[in-house]
Amino acid sequence: MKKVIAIGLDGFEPKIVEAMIARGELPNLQRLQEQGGYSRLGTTHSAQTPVAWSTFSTGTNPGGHGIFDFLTRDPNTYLPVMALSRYEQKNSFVLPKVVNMRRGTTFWDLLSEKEVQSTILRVPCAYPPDQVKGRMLSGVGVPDLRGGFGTPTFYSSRTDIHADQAEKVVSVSLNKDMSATHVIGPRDPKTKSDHKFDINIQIVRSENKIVVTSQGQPDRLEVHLGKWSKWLKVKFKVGMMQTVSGIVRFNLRQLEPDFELYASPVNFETEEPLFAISHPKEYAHELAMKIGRYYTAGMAEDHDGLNLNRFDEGAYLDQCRFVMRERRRMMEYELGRFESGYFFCLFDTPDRLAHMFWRFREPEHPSNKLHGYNPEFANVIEEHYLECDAVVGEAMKFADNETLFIVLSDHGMNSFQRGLNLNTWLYENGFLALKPGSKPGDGGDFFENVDWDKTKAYAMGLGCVFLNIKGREANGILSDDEAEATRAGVVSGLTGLVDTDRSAVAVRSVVRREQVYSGPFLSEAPDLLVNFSEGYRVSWDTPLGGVPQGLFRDNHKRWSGDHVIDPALSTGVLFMNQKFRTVSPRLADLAPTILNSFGVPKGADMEGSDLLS
Amino acid sequence: MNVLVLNFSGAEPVTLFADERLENLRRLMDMGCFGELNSSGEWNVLARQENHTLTLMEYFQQADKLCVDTSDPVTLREKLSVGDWDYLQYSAASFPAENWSADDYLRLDNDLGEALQELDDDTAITVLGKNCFVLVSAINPISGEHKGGSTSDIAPTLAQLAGYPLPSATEGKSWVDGMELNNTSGLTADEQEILRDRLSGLGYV
Amino acid sequence: MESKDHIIVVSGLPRSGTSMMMKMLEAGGQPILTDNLREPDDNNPNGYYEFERVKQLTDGDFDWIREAGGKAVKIVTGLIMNLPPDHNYKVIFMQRAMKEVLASQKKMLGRLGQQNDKVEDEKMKKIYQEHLKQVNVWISKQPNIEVLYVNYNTMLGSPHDSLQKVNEFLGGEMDGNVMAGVINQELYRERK
Repeated sequence: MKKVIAIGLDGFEPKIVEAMIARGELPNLQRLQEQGGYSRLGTTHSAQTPVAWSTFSTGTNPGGHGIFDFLTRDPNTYLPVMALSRYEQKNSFVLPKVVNMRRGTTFWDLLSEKEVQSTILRVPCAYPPDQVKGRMLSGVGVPDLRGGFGTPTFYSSRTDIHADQAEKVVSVSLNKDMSATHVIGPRDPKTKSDHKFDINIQIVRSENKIVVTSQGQPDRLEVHLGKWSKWLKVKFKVGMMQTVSGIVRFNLRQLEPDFELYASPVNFETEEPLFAISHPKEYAHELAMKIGRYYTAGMAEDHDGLNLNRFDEGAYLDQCRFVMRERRRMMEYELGRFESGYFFCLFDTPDRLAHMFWRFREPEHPSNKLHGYNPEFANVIEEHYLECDAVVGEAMKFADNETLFIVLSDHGMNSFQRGLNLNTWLYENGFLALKPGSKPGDGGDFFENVDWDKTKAYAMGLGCVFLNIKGREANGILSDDEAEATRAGVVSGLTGLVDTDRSAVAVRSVVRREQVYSGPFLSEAPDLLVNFSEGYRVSWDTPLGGVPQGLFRDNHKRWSGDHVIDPALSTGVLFMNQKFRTVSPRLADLAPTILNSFGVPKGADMEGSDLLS
Repeated sequence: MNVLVLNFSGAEPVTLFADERLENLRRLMDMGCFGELNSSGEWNVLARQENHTLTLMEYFQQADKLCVDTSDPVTLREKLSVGDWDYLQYSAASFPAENWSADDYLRLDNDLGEALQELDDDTAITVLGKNCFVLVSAINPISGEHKGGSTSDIAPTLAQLAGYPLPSATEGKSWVDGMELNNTSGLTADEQEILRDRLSGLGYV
Repeated sequence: MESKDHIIVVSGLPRSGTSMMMKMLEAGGQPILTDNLREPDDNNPNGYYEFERVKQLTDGDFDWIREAGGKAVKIVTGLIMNLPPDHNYKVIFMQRAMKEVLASQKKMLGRLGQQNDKVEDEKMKKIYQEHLKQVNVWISKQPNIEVLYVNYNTMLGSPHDSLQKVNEFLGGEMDGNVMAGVINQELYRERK
């Protein structure tokens, strides 16, 4: 093969796709299926974006690449830490360096060795960007300017609004419809205060808009009611001599009775990003010069803003369209000059959109009780899939008879109606202890009130259970034998766990890490993984180590669809323009398949096999 | 405390202090102090005694510090990464003596960035240009632009930052003389315990 | 002679060459204060030259200092800041490449069967550097202390130059040649 073009559609759900193809609604995917084939695609334990795409990249199970969840825990402190990348600083004179925690050898490393060029747009867990032969733009894993997955700011003239989760709230006082306020930038590590960029807001009520004036670019920016603004380039003075640039855009939610304005997380600016987000370093900016400013943060869609009701569904859909459009422009620009080698572009939006709109497919979804049901949005996901099909059609134009053309998703999407408080279950079953005098619901996140000297197992992340093992955890208590007994106890206790309110089995199985992982990073994996049934997931309080009251809870958030359930129920899709082995293909098969089509042997650690042979 | 002096004698302060692209240099400027210098004496002369000129390096040698005097073409980074040194002075011989181009400044910043990778926190760094300086040390109490200094002040200031008393007949004036040095944070309780454990483990306390 | 009034202190980190300096001073004719309670072993085949009561400095046991005038005593950096201010001291401060100090300490801890060498070298190095800085700053502020820094690595390379400086520092009455004979290159085997 001369070319391999792979289009990633994050979270593209096979059940929806199959139904739509059956109705003839996805003509391009249907054409692919007829030309080559279609199959559901086996995902990873667990069925999450960073885990699954890392397996796609390296062709190994997570034990071979070291990404098991968005979060992991520090065994010395029991605190959750970001699992995708780390900062290392050699001394106080140099900037910290970002280190990718996705390890293993990618198939584009092997292609580069054989001088095969790659163009890779937004593949997750490639931050800092891999030194590929060709071009790479990093995706999921790139933080915002504050270093997290995204810190938005909400401006309000009300004083009784409090910040929720990662967001910041700025209270603005209006004087003759004017206000001097600021955009919040990075935290100063020394003073622990936030760097700020001054802006002035002028309300123009007659035109339902505001004008933001500042030293940024442009110096005058209009924001219309209910609409997203263009990008504003801001500069934070982080020292007498140093500045850091970023880009931010606004959504004006309302002017009456209270003033409410949303500002996106501040994304890296491509001309002078805080850390390189592309390879070569200048490539990200070259792209911006061609297609205009674009979202650089790994999590481009501001689902938090919608989840916290800082803007509405309509605004979120608009934003998803922006992201989709700019990604299409990237893809088309690069395909236009793509001659040979490997091309990849990931579209994250199908995942981010379905998470937030799933509830409109299910009028009975508990989220609707709180936020209302609007039948207008019942088909939003299908409508979006039409657009995805159009994207595929666009890309197919660049495939010739020497091209292997692939469309795939990393996992599917399901309903998320009920959440299990995993730590509370561990508490009720004697595996997790609380300090004397405290009970579930007394403490907050981060295992507050947990008595580590008596705790055998604890849960964090999206369905991970860790054992409190002597010599490994700071206050570990379990010997090898006791750990084995604990493992067996949790497995037998949780398997088949019934949600009595609904008379439904919530947990299908619990697996030990040795059953599903192998390789050099096995020891970093959670000890046990909980496989949920459809409609279930860990509760919102579980990932950061909360021990709330009660076992099951309705999911009342707008984030109403999810995929971190039993991987067997959360498969992705695979389409190729060549006939391929459709008997249980899995993500790990893609690396050998792509390598083989260039005549490059698969890497020693790669576990899958060529689907075309 | 190690002392590192990087001498780029052709670099003009107007560019050195104003070019925003010199990221590494600017970071150092933010961490420490910088400024122009009145040209009087030589930077490396600490004292002029009767019939002897005592250089900073000689003074450190007398204190039995491991001293290295080096210049291009060995790259600075290589030099710093091999072997131990307490005092290292480096002159950039491959840079022009006058009339630097924009590329020269970028190369300076690049070399500097690489060199910084090899240092311990416990280092006093001095970058010298043409009658100008940048000085960074964790214990240096002076920050921001430092005006009115002279070339001959560099050596006594570094001697004191390194923890040594000034010899007689010092030519310049130490900027930190009589000042309480930021003795950083000292050791944390945890670190003190590690130190105690180590010393008692070895049977010394 | 002047050095009669002073107490001569040999200081430095453990494994920076303090025992060797003591041995040399002894060979050169300098009276030393040691109780030989700590017996020679593989770590210090020529003996430790320690004076056990030094370890009581932290508890305020200063009585022995009155007897120490004109004598040399070994006091590691961890204890030196407890020296009472009402005496005069000449401190010979041993310096040695940190890598070697740490390697040698590790070896010694191993031989002593100590398990507490879990601390990574990088971390230990930082702690020692901070500690040395504190000690040096403290020394430079003591009007009653004169200090001579002697680099172990330099001394092994050119013993005569180093010893001449030591001799001058202490009044110039010792026998430099005998002192140099002590430098036992064998000890340097520890280097890695």
